[in-house]
Parts: sequence; C-alpha cells; structure tokens
Amino acid sequence: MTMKAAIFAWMEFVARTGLGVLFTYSAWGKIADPGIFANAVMRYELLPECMVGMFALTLPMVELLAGLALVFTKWMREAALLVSAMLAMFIAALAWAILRGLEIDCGCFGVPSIGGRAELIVAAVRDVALLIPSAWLIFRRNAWLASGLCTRRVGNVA
Amino acid sequence: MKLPFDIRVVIGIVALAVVLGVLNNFRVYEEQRVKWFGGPVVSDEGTE
Repeated sequence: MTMKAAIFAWMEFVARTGLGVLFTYSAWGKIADPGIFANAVMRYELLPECMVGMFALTLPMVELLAGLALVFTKWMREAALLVSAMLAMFIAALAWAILRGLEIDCGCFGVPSIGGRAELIVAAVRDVALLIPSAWLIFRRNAWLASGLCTRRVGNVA
Repeated sequence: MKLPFDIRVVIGIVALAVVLGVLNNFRVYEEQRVKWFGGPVVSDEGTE
C-alpha cells in the first residue's frame, strides 16, 4: 500500500466513524421522544400535517441505521448516500427557515433548544461541512475493508 | 450507467427504518407518541 492510499484509507476511517457516530447520536434523542421531534418538524411549516407523523418516526431510524451501517458494515457507499441525502434535505430545510425568518429551534439532536436565526445558520454551515466528506464516501472504493488494514491479522494467522 | 452503490441496499434500509419507526411509536409513552398520519398526539402549543 502506498503512502497516498494509506492516508486516504485513514481519512475514510475518520469520515466514516465521525459521521456514523454523529448520526447515531442525533437519532437517539429523536427515537427516545418522537413527539418532540414531530413538533420541531411542524414548526418548519414545510410538510403537510398528515405527513409529519410518518416523517418524524422514519427519519430518526434512517439516521440510526445509516450511521451504524457507515461504521460497521461493508455498505459504506449506500449509507453515505443516505447520509448525504439527509444532509442535503436538512440544508434545504434550514435555508427555507432562515429565508422565511422563522425563529425556531433546529431540532437537530431531538432535544429542544433556545433556537433562533443564529442557531439555524450554525446548523446549516455545519451540515454543509459534513456533506463534503459524506459525498466523498459515496464515490470512494471501500478501501478500509479492502486494503487489508482490518484483515491483515487474520491473513497472517491463516 | 453503473451506479457506485447498490440501490437495493438503500431501499432495504429505508424500508427497515419505516418498520422500526412504527414499532418505536408503540414503545414510547402515550404523551410522546405521534399520529401516523398527523402530528404529535400531545401538541406543545401554548407551553412556550
């Protein structure tokens, strides 16, 4: 393995672990109390009320499964696609709320917060920053598992 | 055109998420639940 490939493999490991842990953590609060998250979704005034319930129940589970899949499974690119799609959706929703001047909490981690325009802007910038490594992972060959970094010890024993 | 990912896995994750989400609604306390085709069971309007 060349130095460049090793650096990319470690970058991939950091991106996978970081995004996976963040999404799993952010799903936790929403799964624990779907009602609070549904209220947060309603305040964006984006979805018709008949869709808020299913959205508030499904999205945290997608976050949880994609986060776990990103860290622990071979389906890194599929999980990264879901994470990127969710981040793009969050950015669009936050931009909508900022442009409309809504003074709401972002609902990002499933716990109520002070809210306001500044919090929405910080959340939007954070999501844009997270979208970069996430989109990179979609097109990345599964180097961490394929490079032998995880399987070298098994190979030596065999 | 070959996609860099398996779309069946993506659909499978989303389908599993829908099932788990609906099951999670049975697990939580009644005041934390949401209507499947609606908003929260207990609205927080007027509490702020």
